[in-house]
Amino acid sequence: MEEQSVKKIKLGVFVIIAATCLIVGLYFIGSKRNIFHSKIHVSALFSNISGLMPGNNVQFNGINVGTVSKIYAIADTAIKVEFTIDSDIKKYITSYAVASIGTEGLLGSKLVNISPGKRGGVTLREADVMNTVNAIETDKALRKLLVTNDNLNVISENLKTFSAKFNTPNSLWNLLSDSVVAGNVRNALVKIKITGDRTAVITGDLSKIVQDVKSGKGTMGALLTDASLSQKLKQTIINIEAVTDSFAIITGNFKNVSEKLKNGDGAIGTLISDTTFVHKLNMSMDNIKNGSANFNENMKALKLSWPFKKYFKKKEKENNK
Amino acid sequence: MKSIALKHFLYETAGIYLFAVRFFKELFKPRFEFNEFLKQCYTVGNTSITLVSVTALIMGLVITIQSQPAMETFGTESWLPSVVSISLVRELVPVITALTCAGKIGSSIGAELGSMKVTEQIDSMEVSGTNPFKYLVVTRVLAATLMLPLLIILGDTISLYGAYIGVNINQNVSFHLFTNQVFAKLDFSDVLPSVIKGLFFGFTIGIISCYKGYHTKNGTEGVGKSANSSVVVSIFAVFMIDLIAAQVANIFHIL
Repeated sequence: MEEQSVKKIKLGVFVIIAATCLIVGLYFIGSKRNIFHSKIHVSALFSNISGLMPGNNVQFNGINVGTVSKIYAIADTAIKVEFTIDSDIKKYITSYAVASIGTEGLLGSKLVNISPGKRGGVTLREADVMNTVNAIETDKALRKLLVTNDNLNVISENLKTFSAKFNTPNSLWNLLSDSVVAGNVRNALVKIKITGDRTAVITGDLSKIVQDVKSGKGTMGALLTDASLSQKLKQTIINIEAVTDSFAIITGNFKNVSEKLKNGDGAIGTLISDTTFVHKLNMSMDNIKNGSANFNENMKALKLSWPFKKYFKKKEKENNK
Repeated sequence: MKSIALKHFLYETAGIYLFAVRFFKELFKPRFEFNEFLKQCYTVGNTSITLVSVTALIMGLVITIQSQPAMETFGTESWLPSVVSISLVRELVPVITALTCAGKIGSSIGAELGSMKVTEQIDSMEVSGTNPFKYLVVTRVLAATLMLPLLIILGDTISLYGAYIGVNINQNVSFHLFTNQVFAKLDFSDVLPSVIKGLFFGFTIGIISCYKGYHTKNGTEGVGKSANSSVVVSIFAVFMIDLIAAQVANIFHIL
């Protein structure tokens, strides 16, 4: 009988140990799936869930906080994903938080990623619909990468030809490596420096002059600063104005005169515009010319004539002195 | 010759089926042999602990060591605990435990009941008013059915510890990290089918061994035969059930 009870105790110990192992194991598995935590149910709408399945993890900044419970389509471009979130973590998830679909590692299983978004906003409640951002679709990204690769190829090709050109003797590189050029450049720089120094001196002088002008020294200064002068200048300008007015009147008269002249009115008008008169005048002029020539001869004769001879000789003597 | 073997096989199959039907009928009839049941539980369960533990520990260790090079080739050594634990919990430990138990329990039940049969102890029981089927068969089958899942759970635990040792031969993984990695990939759909499978393994081993022992013929020579055939048929049945269970578990895994 003693042996019997010992066997029963051993059996009991075995059963309890095995049952404990099972319960602990199931608890560990359950805790991973958050079955024994209090939790809230929220959902999110995606246009493409790229293979997400019920039971996949929900991560908040990389921590597992829940699992996907249900996935169904509600429209042609809207897939509703329902998932649970641990009550402990929900206070950190606000209405600004954004859900997206990502992957565990590079090739792992899919998961829902929740990132916090901007600060503020109310905390998440039961049956809320979260904001979403569509995940990076791998094939789309790869397609873009292909284009980028092509571009990169072209760029590197260009770079290659460029560098090849750079290496040839008559190149910029040659110029850069030439010591004579470098010397010249150095000299030029020295000269530029001297010029700069001089410029500085000139600028100093200039500033001094400006200073003097300001304080009324010198002609220019006086000109610019003398009040009486400016008064006079003003007067002058007024006079000029008056003169100009008179001139305008004169010009007006002159215009009238010139118009009359044109039309042949008055004596001078007749003089200028009458051609027969001009002819006569010409003839008169010829006559006068002839007359004056005769007069000249007469005068010569007169000089040599007796009563006047004495006078001319005397004058000549005086001139020779 | 061939037709005789076929006839014999069909006869045996029908006999085992009827034996199982009779077991379920007798199971719910009053007068429960509880003390005998506990005694059988001790025989089936506790006496197998050492055997199952050592087998499971070695299994976990060996599977881990053998998987290591292949995982290393793909650069996925960090997945070793997860992968090994899934293969151990889902398949290897239940089957290995069932096979060792089929050898140990099957032979002992077959031989015990066979010798009782040939020495006409079963007949005398019937005469003395004790239901021999209830006292001998129901207790043993029930004990095997309930103890095997427990042995499998124990085997799972110990084999995972073996895997932990195996992982630490080549890598340096803390126990905490190892547990996390194991339970990160294990699911209810991995553990529960293996436990349910244990129930079926235990029941099959118990029923077949009891049938073989209960129907022993030809004296002492027959005892040896029935002990032998109970082990052989049990092992065969374990594999058949494993095949079916894999299909069923797969269906539930998809769902």
